[in-house]
Amino acid sequence: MSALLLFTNFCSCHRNTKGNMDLEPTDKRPVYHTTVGDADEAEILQQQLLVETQNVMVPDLWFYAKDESTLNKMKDLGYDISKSELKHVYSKVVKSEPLTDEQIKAFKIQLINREKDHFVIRGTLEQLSALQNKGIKLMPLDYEPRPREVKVIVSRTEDVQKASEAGLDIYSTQIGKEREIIIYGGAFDYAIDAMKNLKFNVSIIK
Amino acid sequence: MKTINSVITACLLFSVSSFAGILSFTNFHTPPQVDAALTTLHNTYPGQTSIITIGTSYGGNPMKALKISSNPAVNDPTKGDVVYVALHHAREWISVEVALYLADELLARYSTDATLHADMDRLQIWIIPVVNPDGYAYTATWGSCADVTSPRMWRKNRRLNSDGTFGVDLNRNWGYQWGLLSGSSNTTTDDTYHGTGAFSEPETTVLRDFLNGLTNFKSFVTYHSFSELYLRPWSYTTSDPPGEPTLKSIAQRNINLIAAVHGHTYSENIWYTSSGEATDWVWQEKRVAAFTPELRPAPTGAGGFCVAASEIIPCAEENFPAATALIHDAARPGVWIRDNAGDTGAEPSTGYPWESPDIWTVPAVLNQNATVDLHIHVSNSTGTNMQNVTVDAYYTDPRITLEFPSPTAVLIGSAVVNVPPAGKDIVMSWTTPVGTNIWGELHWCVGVVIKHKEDMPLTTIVNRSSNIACHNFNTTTVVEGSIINVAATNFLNVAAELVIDFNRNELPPDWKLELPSIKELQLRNKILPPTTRKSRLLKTQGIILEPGQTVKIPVKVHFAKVPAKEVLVRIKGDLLPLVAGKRTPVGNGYTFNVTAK
Repeated sequence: MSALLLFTNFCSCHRNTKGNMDLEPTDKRPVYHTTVGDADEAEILQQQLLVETQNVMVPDLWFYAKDESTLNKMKDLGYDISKSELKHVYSKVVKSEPLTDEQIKAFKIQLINREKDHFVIRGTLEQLSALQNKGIKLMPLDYEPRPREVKVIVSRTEDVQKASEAGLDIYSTQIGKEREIIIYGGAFDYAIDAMKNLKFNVSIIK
Repeated sequence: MKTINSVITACLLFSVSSFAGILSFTNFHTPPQVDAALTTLHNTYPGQTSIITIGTSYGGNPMKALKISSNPAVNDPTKGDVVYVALHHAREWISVEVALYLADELLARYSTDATLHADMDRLQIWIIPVVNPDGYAYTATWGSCADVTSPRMWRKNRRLNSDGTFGVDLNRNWGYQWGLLSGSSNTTTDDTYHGTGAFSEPETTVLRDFLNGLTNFKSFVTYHSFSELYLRPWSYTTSDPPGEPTLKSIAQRNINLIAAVHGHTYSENIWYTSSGEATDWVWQEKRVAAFTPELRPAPTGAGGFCVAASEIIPCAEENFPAATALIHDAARPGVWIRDNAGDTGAEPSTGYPWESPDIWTVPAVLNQNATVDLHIHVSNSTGTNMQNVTVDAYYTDPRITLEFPSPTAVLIGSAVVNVPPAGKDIVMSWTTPVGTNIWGELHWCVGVVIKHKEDMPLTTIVNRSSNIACHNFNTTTVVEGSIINVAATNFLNVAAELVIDFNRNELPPDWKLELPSIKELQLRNKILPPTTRKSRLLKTQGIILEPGQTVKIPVKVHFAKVPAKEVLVRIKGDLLPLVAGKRTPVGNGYTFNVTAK
């Protein structure tokens, strides 16, 4: 049952008449934006005014409002509210033909993984549309992107924190023979790149 | 000390080497087999167990709890609630086994172990072996740890995210300090993705609501793997939480208990932070001792998340004494100290919790920079001599909202004593501070924390633990219109509402205490716009304090005629954090022995 659901969900992207990936938002409900002091405030809004959170990245809160009166109550409480463009709010993770670093930077796409014949990338619907409009081929993701198993060697305990912040999912840490710190974990290519930029010794096990 | 440790170790080894339960642990239980195991336990012990579905997962799978109690059909608020959960993370299969083993072994030993039997009769023990049923089912579909891309290595739940990816890390989704990028990820593909908001996931919401519904919550353990660690709050930062000495004592005791079984010493150190963790929320919101054992194997051990099934029993065996130690801590007062003259050792105590008759100074009236004798009386309900009892005494500015130990409490002294059944009096020398407290009075609060290997405080809140008491008592003389000063500091990490009240029914009929208006008090402490909004959303009534803010509250005393004897004026304050959900008050108070002229 879960395998069926997996493939059903991945195939929910359709191609439009031009053969491009359909990058229209599937949820057409209006999304609003405001700012909050912390995640607690977002939770309190949800609880007290039945505001439905779409996403919180403090200080930004994107939400669905039950009705106009909810928005008015929020304004009375001092919230500045704006309506968001859905293509800026929603993102997709898709396959693309291989991209250059310059292309990734120019279109502000997030690289997830580089595979042999495609990249896995994430972008807002608008960013992906821009990419597609430039002739870059995008394809629906037909598998779950998974991290690579990596071994990272650092010299200081504070570097373990930096590796975690770079995106490493830490499985274990241990002290090596020469007092180096060996970290085993899972990391997508973007995190591997980030750790290499920090001059950490990163090797891919699988 | 050594002899006692040897005796304790020997008893533990004797008791754990003979597995008394009825379940089989030769292999990992599949999700249906977990359900079957819970049913087997319930059918075998119908008088001590019930199976409760506490909610459903994102995928609609039930989340089940096994309740163990002498009367499981009744929710008894006088009994403490101790909670053990497992499998926030889908691939950490051994955590499920340790939780099932705990349940099995407790029930088997109920009829053979008198101490455990007595402890269990005083408690409601909750075991939730699978917090993440959808993730667990997914990991069981196929794969191995040799293939990191296979479902067997899945960690998160199975939420379909809006961008087409799957899963939220349930142990990054709890509400306290949720979303910090120093300890979790906002990238949906990452295994530490924290979700769209705090408690965005049904699984964490269900568990949170379950914990909020407990009437006498005592301790919380969440089993994970791997690396052989025994972790405590905070996880989101490297700074120490309030109450660190208490949490550290319990963690170290439990680490020693684990090591005594098969020689595996779990470490308390981890070199990275993780925000949105369950134990941080439990400690912050509930001030209930909360721990995360990361089970076998060790970092250099074989198998990782796919540790061999042959490790299940030794791993479960070594964690059993630590789990039952928390049960023992929660069950009853062993060595204890009274909160007030009527305190019988019940947790929580009733009455005013800052009037411990077991703490006094000679002389009674304090001066600055003066050396006094601090007297402490420790009671003992065990019927046996309790050896090596640690008694820590602190003093602090008495700013309502007190817990011990608290961030501002200063250690007066620490004694290690033997306490016979008749109790023990201890005297410590205390040199009072130079100068006054923050509002110019020679008035401090003294708090005492009692610790013993077999009886640890599981909180820092005075009235919720019989191991902690304080004395906040001042003698003062007033005339009509005199001011008695009290103050409150918000020691919580979040903005909070302070609600003040006093014992109007105990005062002589012509007495009146005049408190400044909330508006007047609020002017003294500016609050930030987000806090103002939260306060309006939650419709607060009291004074709002940002973290760390102090408010001085001058209380004016009015009376028509001078009473014949002293009047006890009791002023109580409660801090209610400005958070969603259940706002658990943290409070304390003052008692003034007032002579009117």
